[in-house]
Amino acid sequence: MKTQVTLVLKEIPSLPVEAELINPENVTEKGIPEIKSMLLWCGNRQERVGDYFEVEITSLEESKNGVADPVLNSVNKGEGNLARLVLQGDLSKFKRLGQGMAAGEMLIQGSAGFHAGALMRGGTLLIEENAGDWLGAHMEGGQILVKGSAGHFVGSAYRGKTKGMTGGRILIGGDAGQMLGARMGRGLIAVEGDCGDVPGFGMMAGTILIQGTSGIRVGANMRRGTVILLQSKKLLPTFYYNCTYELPFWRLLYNQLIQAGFSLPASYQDVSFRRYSGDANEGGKGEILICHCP
Amino acid sequence: MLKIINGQVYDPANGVSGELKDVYIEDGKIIAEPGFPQNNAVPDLIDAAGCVVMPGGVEIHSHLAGPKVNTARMMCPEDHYDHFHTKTSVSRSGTGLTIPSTFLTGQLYSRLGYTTVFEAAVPALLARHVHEELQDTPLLDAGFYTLMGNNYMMMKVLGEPDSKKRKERLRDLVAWLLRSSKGYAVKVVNPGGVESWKWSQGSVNLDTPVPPFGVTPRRMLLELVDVVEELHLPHSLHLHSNHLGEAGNVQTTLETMRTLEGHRLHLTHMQFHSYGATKSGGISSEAPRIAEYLNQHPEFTCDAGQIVFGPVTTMTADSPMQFHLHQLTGNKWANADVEMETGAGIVPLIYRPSNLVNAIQWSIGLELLLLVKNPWQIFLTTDHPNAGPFTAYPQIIRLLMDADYRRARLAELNPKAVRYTCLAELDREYTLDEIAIITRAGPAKALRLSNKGHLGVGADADVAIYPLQQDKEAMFSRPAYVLKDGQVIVRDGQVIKNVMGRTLFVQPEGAQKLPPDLADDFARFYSIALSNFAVQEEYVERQEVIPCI
Repeated sequence: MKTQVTLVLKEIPSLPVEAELINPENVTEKGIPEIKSMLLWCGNRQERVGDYFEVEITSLEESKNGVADPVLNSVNKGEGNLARLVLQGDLSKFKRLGQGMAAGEMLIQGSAGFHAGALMRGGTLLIEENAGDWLGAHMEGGQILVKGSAGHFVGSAYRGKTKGMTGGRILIGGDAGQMLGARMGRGLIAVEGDCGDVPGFGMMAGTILIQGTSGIRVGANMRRGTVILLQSKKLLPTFYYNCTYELPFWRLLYNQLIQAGFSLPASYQDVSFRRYSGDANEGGKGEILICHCP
Repeated sequence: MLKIINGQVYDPANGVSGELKDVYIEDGKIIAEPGFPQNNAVPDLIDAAGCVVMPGGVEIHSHLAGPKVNTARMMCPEDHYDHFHTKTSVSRSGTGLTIPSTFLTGQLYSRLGYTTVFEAAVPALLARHVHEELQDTPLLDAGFYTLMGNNYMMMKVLGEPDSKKRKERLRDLVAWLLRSSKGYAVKVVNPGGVESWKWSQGSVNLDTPVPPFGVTPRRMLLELVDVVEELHLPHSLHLHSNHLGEAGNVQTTLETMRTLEGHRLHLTHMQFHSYGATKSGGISSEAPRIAEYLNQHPEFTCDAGQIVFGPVTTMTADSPMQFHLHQLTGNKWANADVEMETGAGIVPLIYRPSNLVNAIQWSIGLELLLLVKNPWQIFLTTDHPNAGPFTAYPQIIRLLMDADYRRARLAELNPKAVRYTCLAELDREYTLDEIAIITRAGPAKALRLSNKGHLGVGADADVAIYPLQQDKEAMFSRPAYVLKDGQVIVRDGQVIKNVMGRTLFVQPEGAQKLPPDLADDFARFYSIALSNFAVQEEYVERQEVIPCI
């Protein structure tokens, strides 16, 4: 029977906590004492989940009081008997939540700290408030939904690594920080709000969509891949104009995003785009598409 | 007293080859078998039954400490994420695969049975940093070679027209640089080539005049080998020749050796200097020609610079070469101009068996090791971390000792590689004796370290004991015991005791200060005052001065 494991934060810790073990696979088929004894690092001290959280386990059929989320349900069919993991409280001091998770659902009813969903391979991570830096860094699959804003380096490559996110999708309801999707190689990142400087830095493949305004140097050093800007933006001189056209795949992407709960005004459904090639310093095989709003 | 019993001892420097023999150690030194009766004390025993006992390994050429290594550590965080060692009760934590942190470098070397290492390239200006890092590199005796091949003052002195005066001034300058930096030997990297590049000029051949003084690399080398001999330095000139890594550089390498015939000379990472050129501009193996030449000239020694497939971090004072490598690969690059002395460049790389050039390079290194007949002339190195990390030594030892394994690995390479190499035809297999020579006895002899690389009476009690196994890679990766100065520091491949080694350096006779004209230049062009140049005594807390005799 499918269960729901709920971790309720007792109080916000003063120091950051490394919590890479907290993911759906690791709490499935475990009793409350077992979950409470899972290890966390805080500075150089090893601590336990029970030190920070109250743990409840409920049968999922019985819990009808609002935690069931239509978004989660719509994309997570057939995930076997993995427990659904719900975290409640402000977890912005907890790093690496859902890192490397391969399947299942994880719902954070609050904010998450750095590296949430980094190296994630499958499943769904839903963050109801804000996410920290390095959200979904090196992500390979699955999806991350953030209702609030995300920090810097969403879906990026860690320092020195040549390829960041390689699959899956990250949808952000609020704003995103700098270097969104830096060195990205496949996958989709969509931001409803604004984003910081240098989105799509050095990207090698994949798609980035920014609905709000974006910072300077969009797509600097990009080799391939697509950055879609719905607001007009002055580009670097190493990007050159190709044409204005209607994208055959725009409608598909639009529908997919709407289905996933991403809010895009209907006026964007039928728009054409100005296409720019770049970064010419890197071969010019990347593209930036800017909405050609009438 | 400590006694190692029942082991097969391989001590080629003393003609001992696999005999069952006891080794006695007292006060950090190997001693003769004590006569009876013994003075009551029962010796501690190490039972080395089923094991081979060798002197501790001696590394002749490795880039393990100093500013360029540190820059590489900083620019390659990816080298550290996935490779880390947690601290134990005796050893500190560390990270890194191709450029491990200082503590880890010491631990990893000693876990292979190495007890003495030499950092290969240090500008005198930055020697203090190297000493600082060596102070933090435990378990090893260490020294370094001082770079002189592109030094402004050196070239100025070499430009002196009066040959007698030139010789004298050069000798004084070399001695002064070695004493100031507390280095061990004279290192020359791409003589004149780096300086020429700094003047925006092309690469140099042996007879290209190098700005600003018009000195040719040939003259520089001829004068320097003389000075090294006159100063009675323990190690010969340590030379990284011109045109490293370029197709057809075998001509330069042979010409360099012919020029210096009759002198002691160590040619480093020979693999990178043994390339022929194909019609399409690619490389082919000229290892047989180089090996033939070395076989006729026992005065020369070299080390292999064997390629290891996987990630590496290339770093050298040969900055023009690194710039070309950066342009060729598009990989990230760091470059440094070391004021009046030299340059440096860093480019991380990955060697792949499927890449034709890498496959040929891999074959050339092994060909050199197999074709040079006298193992006292060629030593095992990977030019760490340029051609591979030193941690791959056991793998290379297996390649040398096991021809079937070598052929199996050869078959995995880019199939075109056999067209340009002759490795497939070589059947030689190294013996344990020969391995002991190329990893310890030979380098110690070339460095003239009379207390290292052998187990004779009076030698430092640096001993490596490996459990005899069919798989030589497994055998040399995990020594049963490693002793440093008579103390057991490694047991079953794990560090069990932390000790600090000594800094090895020379103090050749010669002028104690710069002549006034060079001191003037120093004051005008260096970023530091002359009085702050020489490395102070406190940077070599635990020191051993190797005599110049």
